[in-house]
Formats: sequence, structure tokens, C-alpha cells
Amino acid sequence: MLNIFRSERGLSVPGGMLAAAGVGAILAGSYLYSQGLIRVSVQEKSPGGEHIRLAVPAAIVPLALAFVPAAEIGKHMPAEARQHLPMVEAALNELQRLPDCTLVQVDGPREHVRIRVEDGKMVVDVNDHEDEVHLALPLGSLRSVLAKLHRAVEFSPKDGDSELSGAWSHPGHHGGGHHDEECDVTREVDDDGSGSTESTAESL
Amino acid sequence: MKKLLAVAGILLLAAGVALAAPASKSGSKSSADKWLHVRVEDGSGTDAETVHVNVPLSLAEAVIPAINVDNFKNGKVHVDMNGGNNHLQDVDIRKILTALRDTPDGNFVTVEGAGDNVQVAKQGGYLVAKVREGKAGGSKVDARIPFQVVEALLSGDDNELNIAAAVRALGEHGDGVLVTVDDEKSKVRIWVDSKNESQ
Repeated sequence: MLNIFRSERGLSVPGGMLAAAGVGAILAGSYLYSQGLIRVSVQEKSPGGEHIRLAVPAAIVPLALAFVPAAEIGKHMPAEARQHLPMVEAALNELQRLPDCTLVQVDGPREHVRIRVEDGKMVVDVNDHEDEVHLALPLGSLRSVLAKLHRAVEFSPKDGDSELSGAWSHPGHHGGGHHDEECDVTREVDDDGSGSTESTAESL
Repeated sequence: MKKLLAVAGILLLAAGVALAAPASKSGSKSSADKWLHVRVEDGSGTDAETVHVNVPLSLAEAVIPAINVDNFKNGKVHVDMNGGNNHLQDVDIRKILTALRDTPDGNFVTVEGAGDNVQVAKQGGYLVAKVREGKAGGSKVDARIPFQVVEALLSGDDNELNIAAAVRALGEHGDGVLVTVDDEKSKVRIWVDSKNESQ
């Protein structure tokens, strides 16, 4: 039966393809393994409480993000997020360099919290009287999220716009050719007495 | 047979890559030299609660300059010394600090009251403060801050506290306990050392 994978000169075409597929599968598997898993476990302690478990390969994070337009994230990005992005990036750079360690540990009569870095992952364990939560997040997977957020910043509302739209702004209120048109709509609705400019912006 | 061996070799190589990837990650970790530890013990018995915070100073050094909120920018906190209710407006902290630095070790302030004792001194390059409340069983506060850290803290412009420089100075300084607070219900200890776990 193995003869179909072998020719007189060695491996046959199907055999070579199978070997290539095997190598590809192992390389893909090794990449997935190296990126780690995002694990989330939430267990409610109340009677009949739910237990949610989630284990997702971190490698799919950049893949999934590729389908989310940076412009769309930017349009809905709060000013605070934009402001704190450099801080998060600096923290992430350092966290990735840390050895395994416990950063925060709280032990009380009713709650236990532990935040630690373990094998390149940020691990959070919370156990209180209501829930038990475990979260493991490979720090490497956050890098692609940050890169995407950096691109999204270009599309986020400028400071001048933020006072109009608040923390969560509407796409129509910054940049782009529809800006004036949108402003006109805002004014019209405002003149109708529907309330403040802010509430109008949200309703749009 | 040779080609089968070659394929097996490639498969082994791929498996090696899989195993080596996490290993190389852990190998690239650098040791954060100094760690700032905070330990709080609150209450006693079954209600006791303990909090341990371990922060690598390298993390603080990297993050603090990136903070940009309100009056905290570029690693410096802007303090409005001339504010209406600010008692520091008439005090030149830098001049006091310079004077303290140039004076020999000794006690600067000693207050002995009926209930409280306060002592501020300079001892071996440290600014030392001791507060004792009550006669016995009252709270005790001991602070021992390296002078370099205090100087770094005040190294910015007027009305600024240079937090980033203070953290850097703390990292360059040796291990030691900075603050301890002991009272009837709680204990607080803040120290710097090279271990990444609090003990």
C-alpha cells in the first residue's frame, strides 16, 4: 500500500505532497503553539451558576483584527484610550521582558486576587464569594492589538472634536468630506429643539 | 530510504522549532534589577487581609514618562505651589534640601508631645523620619528615603516633582526599606530589593 507514495526514484508526487502537507501542518502547529492560548474561565458560584470556558489560539488575534478596519476602530476610540496608548505600549514592552513573577496578590477572607506573569502570559485569577475568574493572555498577542490601535489613532477624533462628541464620538464628526453635511444635519435637528448638540450627535 | 530520512529530518526540525519557540522567549527575558515591593496587612484573625504588590522599577521607569494625564506629564507632576490653600507657597523646598544635604548627620526636628513624637534626621545619606503616636500600642511610622531620591524628585523645574527621576534614582540605589507603618490594625511595608517576590 505504501507503494503509491514511492516511485522508482524515491517519493512519488502524492508522497511528496503528503510530506509537504505534514511539514506545513507541523509548522502551523508550532506557530500556534508558540503564540499560546488565550484562556478565559468564569464560574458563577450561585446555585445553577454558569461556567464559561474559552480557549482561543492567540495566533488568530492578528488574523481576526485584519478583518476589522482601523478606521472603524478609530472613529469609536475614546480620547482616553488614545491618551493612554503610549503608556500601555511601554508597559507591554517591559512586561514581556519580565521573568515569571507575581505582580499583585490580595488574600482576604472573602476574596483572593492574583495577577502574575507566567511563561510570557499575563495571568489573572480572581476568586471571591460570587465568581471565580481565570484569565490567561499571551502578552505577544497584545502586540498586534496595539499595532492596530496605533493605526486606528489616525482615524480617531481630534481634540477639538472630542468636546462635541464626548468620549465615544460619531464617525461623522471628524475629518472627511461629510463633515460639513453632518454638521448641517446637527444644526437642523438642534433647531428643531431636540436638545443639545451632544445628544444630537449621539442620536446620529 | 534516504528521502524518507530527509522528510523525517524536516519533521523533526519543525518539531524542534515548535519546542524552541517558547524556550527562546524565556531566554530573552531580562532580569529587572530592582523591584519595589509594597505589603499591607490589614486586620487580624479570620478577617485579616494581605496585599502584596511587586513592581519592577524598570516597568515604572518605562511607564511613568508615557503617562500624560492632567498635571502628570513626561514623568513629572506639576504641583501648584502658589495655590490659594497651599501651605508650601512660602517654603522653598529646594533651598531647604540643599541646606540639609550640606549639613552633617544629625537630628533636625524633634517634637516630643504628650501623645506624639516626631523626629526628622539625616543619617548616612538618608532622610529619616520617625513618627510615634500615643504612648504604647499607637501607630509607628518610619520613613528612610535616600537623599539622592529626594534630590531627584526635586530636580525638575519649580512647581514640579520629577517622579521619573526619583524612580531612576531609587533603582540606582541599594536595597532597603523605605517606609514602614505599624499600628493596631494594620502594617505597611514598602521596600526595594532585587527579588521579584515579596517576602
